[in-house]
Formats: sequence, C-alpha cells, structure tokens
Amino acid sequence: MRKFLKEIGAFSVIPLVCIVACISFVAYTSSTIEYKMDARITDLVIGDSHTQCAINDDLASNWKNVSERSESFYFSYYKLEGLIEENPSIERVYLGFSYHSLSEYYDKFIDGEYSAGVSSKYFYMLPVKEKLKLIYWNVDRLPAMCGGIFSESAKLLFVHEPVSFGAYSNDFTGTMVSNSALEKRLKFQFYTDERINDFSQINQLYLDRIIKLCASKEVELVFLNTPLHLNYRRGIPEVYIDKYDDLLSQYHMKAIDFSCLSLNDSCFVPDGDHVSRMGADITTKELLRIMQEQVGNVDF
Amino acid sequence: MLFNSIDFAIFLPIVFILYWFVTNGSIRLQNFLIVVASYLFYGWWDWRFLLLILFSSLVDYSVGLGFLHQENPTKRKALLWTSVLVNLGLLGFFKYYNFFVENFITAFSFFGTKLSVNSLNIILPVGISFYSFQTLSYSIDVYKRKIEPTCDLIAFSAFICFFPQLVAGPIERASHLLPQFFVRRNFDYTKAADGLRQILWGLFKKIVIADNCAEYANLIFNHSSDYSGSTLVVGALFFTFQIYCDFSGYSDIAIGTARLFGFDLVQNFNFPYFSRSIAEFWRRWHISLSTWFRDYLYIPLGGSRGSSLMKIRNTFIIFIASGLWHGANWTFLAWGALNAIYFLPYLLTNNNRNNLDIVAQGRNLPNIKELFFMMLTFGLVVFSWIFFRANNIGHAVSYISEILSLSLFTIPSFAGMGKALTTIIFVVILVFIEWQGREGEYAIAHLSVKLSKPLRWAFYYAIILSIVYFSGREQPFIYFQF
Repeated sequence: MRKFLKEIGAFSVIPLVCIVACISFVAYTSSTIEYKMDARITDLVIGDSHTQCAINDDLASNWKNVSERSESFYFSYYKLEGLIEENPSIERVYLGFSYHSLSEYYDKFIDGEYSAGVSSKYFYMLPVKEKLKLIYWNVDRLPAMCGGIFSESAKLLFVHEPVSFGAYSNDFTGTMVSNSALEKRLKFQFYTDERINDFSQINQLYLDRIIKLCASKEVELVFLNTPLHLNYRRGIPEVYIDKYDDLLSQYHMKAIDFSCLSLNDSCFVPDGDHVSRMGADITTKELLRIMQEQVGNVDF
Repeated sequence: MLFNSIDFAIFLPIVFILYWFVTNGSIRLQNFLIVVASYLFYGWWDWRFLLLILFSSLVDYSVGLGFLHQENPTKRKALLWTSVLVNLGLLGFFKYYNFFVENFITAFSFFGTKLSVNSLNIILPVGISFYSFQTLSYSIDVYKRKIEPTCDLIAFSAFICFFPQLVAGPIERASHLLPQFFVRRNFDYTKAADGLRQILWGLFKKIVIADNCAEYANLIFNHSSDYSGSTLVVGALFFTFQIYCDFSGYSDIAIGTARLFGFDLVQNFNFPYFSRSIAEFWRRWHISLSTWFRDYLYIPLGGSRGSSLMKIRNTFIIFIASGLWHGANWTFLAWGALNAIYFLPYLLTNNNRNNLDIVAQGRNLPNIKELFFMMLTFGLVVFSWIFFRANNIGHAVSYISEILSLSLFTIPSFAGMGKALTTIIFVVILVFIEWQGREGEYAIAHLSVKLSKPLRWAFYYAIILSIVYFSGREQPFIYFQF
C-alpha cells in the first residue's frame, strides 16, 4: 500500500504543480489590471455591441465608450465596479438597455454555447468567487475557455497590451437593412425552437445591482436604447415590450430611447438592430444634443 | 452516481481509504462497508429504488436458505420458480408493462375493439436488468447444486449490490464473485495499479470517444431525413463507436474499480470490432450477458443439439430475448432477430466455433483474408446498430432506404464537421491502441511491460489531458437505460 500511495503521490506532483502555477498566474494577472483612465473622463458608455456601434466617443472629449460586443449586465457590473472605484471623475454612466437585453439568449454568453469566447475576456476582472462560479458554469467548455483566458493573459503579460474594457467600433459603411438578416436576428434573440424565450434572470439581477452600484457611488445612471429599424421593432414579441416598459417604470431611471429615432435604411447594418457608421454619428450627435440641453456639461 | 462525475471522484477515494485503512482487514467490516457504499452509490440517483434491490436480495437470500435443507425436487422447483417469478416479475413490470399494454391496445384496435387500459408513468430503475439477472443466476446455480447457498446476508447483499458493477454490469455469476467476499483481501500493488490503468482507459473511451461521437450520432439520427445517404453512414459509424466506447468504457471502469478493492470481475468486452465473424463477435461483445443467455436459456432449450429446426428456433429465441433485454421497443427486437439471421449460417454449417484465437496473433497486421472478414463483420454490425439506435422501425427503414439511395455517393456533410474531425482522429487513435493491445484483457493492460516508466507516465498524462481538453458534452451511459 505504501508503494501504491507513494506512486500516486509522485504521479500527482506534476498536475499539482501545474494547477498551482495556473492559480498563481491568474492571481498575478488579475492584480495587474489597470482601471485608471484619463481624469477628464466624466461620462462612460457601457453595454454590448449596440452601444459599441452607436456611440462614437470621439465626438465628445469627456466621454469614453467601454462597450463590448455580447457583454451582458453580469460582466458590465464587474467592469463598472472597477472603473468607478478607480476613476472618481466619472459622473455619469450610459447603460445600453434594450428589449433584447432581457432575453434569456444572453445567458448563452455567460454559461452557454457562446460563453467560452466571451467570458474569457472578463475573467480577470471578476472577483475570485465569480471566477470559480464562471468555471463551474462552463465546466463543459473549460478547454476552450482556458484557451481564451491564457491568450488574454499572454497579451497582458508578454505583449504588454492592457486589458481592453471595450471601445467604440463601427466598420459598417454603405450597408442596408436586409429583411432576412433582420428576421434571423429576431429569431436568434427572442426565440428558441419557435417558442418565445424566457427572460434572463441573471441579466435582471445584475441590472438591479448596476443601479444600486451607481446609486451607492453617486454616479448618475442613464438607460440608453439605441436605434432600431422599424421592421425589427415590429418583430419584437409583445411580452418583451411590456417587460421593458415595466422595468423602466419600476426603476424610475432616466432613459433615453432612440429605438424610434427616424433613420433611413442606410443608417443600419443588415440585421436592423445595429447602426452603421453614419447611423452612429447621427445617434451620438442626438445624444450629445439631449445631454447638452439637460445638463450642459458636454465638451464637444 | 455516474462514474464520469465529480461525485464519484470524491466518493471512490473515501470508500477506498475506509476500506483499506479503517476496517483493519476484517472481511465482515469490509463487506458491510461495500454494502453501505453501494447503497449510497445507488441511492444517489433515487433512494426509493433501493427498496427494490433490498427486496430482490432478501427474496433470493431466503430462496437460497430454503434450498439448504430441501431435497424434495418439487419443493426445490417451487423455490426456484419463486425466485424466477419475483425477479422477472419486477423486471417485467418496470420495463415491459407499458410496451405490452400499448401493443395489446394497438393489436385489438385492428379488430375494431377499443381497449381502455391505461399505461403507467413508470420510471425504469437504473440497472434492474443487470442485478435481476445476477440474483437469478444465484438461485439457478444453487438449484442446480453448482454452488452452495450462503447464510451470510451481508456477503450476499454485497454480491448483489457491489457498486462497481451494480448498474451496468458486468453481470457476475455467484460462482465467480460470491466466493471472493469470503476470502481475505490483501492489498495488491500490481492489481491496484492495473485497476487504475483500466479506469483511466475506460474514462478515455467514455469521455473522449463516446461522448463526442454521441453529439454527431444524435445530430444525424435525430434529423436523419435532412441528410444524404453518405452522411447517414457516417452517423451509423459514430454510433458504432459511441456504443462500444460507452459500454466497454463503463465495464473497464467497473472492473478497474473492483480491482482497487481486491476483486476480479469477468471480462465483458474482448475487442469485438476485430472479430472475423458474427459468431466471434458475440463471443467478444457483452460477454457476461451472452454467456448468461447461453447458460440459462440456450442450453436448457437444447442449445445446438437436435434438428436444424430446433437450432433455428433456439437461436432466434436467445437473440430476440437478448434484444428485448435491452429495452421494450420493436427496434431492439429487430436488432436481435437480425443478429440471429447473421448467426444462423455459421451455426448450421458448424462454423460457429471457428476463430477462437486472437486475430493476427503475434503479427502486427492481419492478412488479406482476415482483414476482409473483419471488415465484413464490422459492416454487418454497423448495419444492425441502425435498428438499435433508431427511434422506431419506420425510422430505421427510412434511414436504411436513404443509405441505399444514390445520395450514398455524395460527400458527407453535417453541422460541425470540422470539429468532428478531432473526434475521428481520436477514433483512429483508439483503433490503433486497441489493435496493439488486443492480446491483453484491455487495450493498455500490457503497458507496464511494453513501456518504461517515464514513457508510461507521459502516456497517462496525455490521456488525462485529452480527457480534460477534449471531453464532450456529458452523456449518461447508454446501458443505464437497460
């Protein structure tokens, strides 16, 4: 028995060393994340690809768009927590909030089939408990997720490329709405096997936490619904429109709703729920105009 | 509790430590611990069904005691029938009640009679087909005076519910396993190391091969009408490797686990896909079930003695019973009948006992003749698995019809083909390793002789890494449903 246990112990040394090295590596990498931004930044835009495409922060010097595609409120919360903590100059946060944000399909980016590529980007921003939770939720996709996590850390440590919190990004010019792409998009966001998706519990929970976080740090939170094509709007299930309205009235938050903003077809990308570069300029200018009127502290 | 779960990864070392360090070598304590651990293992799934195992164990234990001082042949027969009726009655109720009720209703509706017998929402207790056959073999062997009945209830219960093989076999005979509960088990390093090696190989087969093959087999079988004949062939091949690696992987883990506790279980698979005939295949596939049917059904029916008609009848009975054992569905019955048809030419020409040796023994490659017959047998087996996997007979027929159409000559195409390539590479690696290790009890049994320690360990690490890295979506063991 002694020989058996000795052999087992010896055999386990290499995996144990690897595990300890990985844990140390992750802990070290997490500690190197730099949340500090330019002290002139007062307004943050945070959300998923909708705000990432729609708000061009080059048009306002005290704004910073930190939106990232497929970002759920779960990840936005932890990113925002770090950014607000390290940047006391932040006065206002625009949170991308639309009908699709409530759909359960968003959970696939946290613990479902699309999570490996998305969640690894946020891994180092999460507290230890959430890191463990994320690993547990994605245990089936661990290899793919590990690949993503280590490539992020390689960028951070060896290329000295700082962690990206997200940025305005829009390469769409000369695009038009396509009804087939639009229908496909609606189906992807709101339906599973012809059935309307349930609401995402985790996104609702973290929406609530974001509101509380901003309130506790005395940062103004503004909900921002980016422009949607008319045909897309018509395809949104009624229950989602009702739920969205319910939440707005429940939270009494300031909300800027551009979903009905009148834009021509060339201002959208084919899927009808993202704007093109031209659409982004119009949307951003409209947002700046509104904010200038309301608070008057936007530096053009 | 699944072998490929975190729960089992925690459970096994705890039981191992208690077994070897706390019981102080006491056989009774070790047997008691096995019973407790086995009930916990089984109850993890649904504790209510423990009552069934307890009931079955008590009935057969009592029947065994009844045989002890009973010499009257009529009374002995009555005791045997008690065991048969109880075990097959439970099995029949839980497994076949709905099947027969639904088919009776359908049959009567042909004659215009509408029956209103309700089918029940019955949950099939995991492993009932396995432990029922195991307990039954005890009563039959005691009746035939092949073994002495035991008075030790703990040892008997441990034999019935021994957790490594409780839910999916191998189906053990009392004459082989029960005596092992009465002898002192000393820790044997070689045996334990061999056990761990077999567990590792079983996990590789289950997690890396079977679970990944399952994804594509399910995709293709569940949407078979969308695919070309060539893709359906690929689907059938994926299922062929899925079912082999799933079930033989389970058996490897079971046998390896038992070895850790000082027990030897029977070999359940002996490289069946390298068989040169269907007769050989059935000597190598699910050996514990095949031999059970041979000894307790086929031989009592007369076996291969008597007229050709009798041989045909007995062959069909044993294969159809084997099909039905797998489940209450006409597809299993068709699968059994098809295998009987495959088998009969060998039996009727007295060639069923050919190929008793290991294929290409002492050589690296088979000769042309061996290769031809291996391929032919493999093809027939793949074809029969279509019935086994199909949802119903109609599905199987349409699946085969599409394969036999001109679309067979198109290039296979299905969602995720690129990812499937990794699985195919692993299947090729599996076939290579199994071929290399076909003279052992399992593919990597001789690794300790063939490779030096550093190479061996590197091989183990590679297997562990592939299990972690290429694990498919967790699938339940197929044979749990039987």
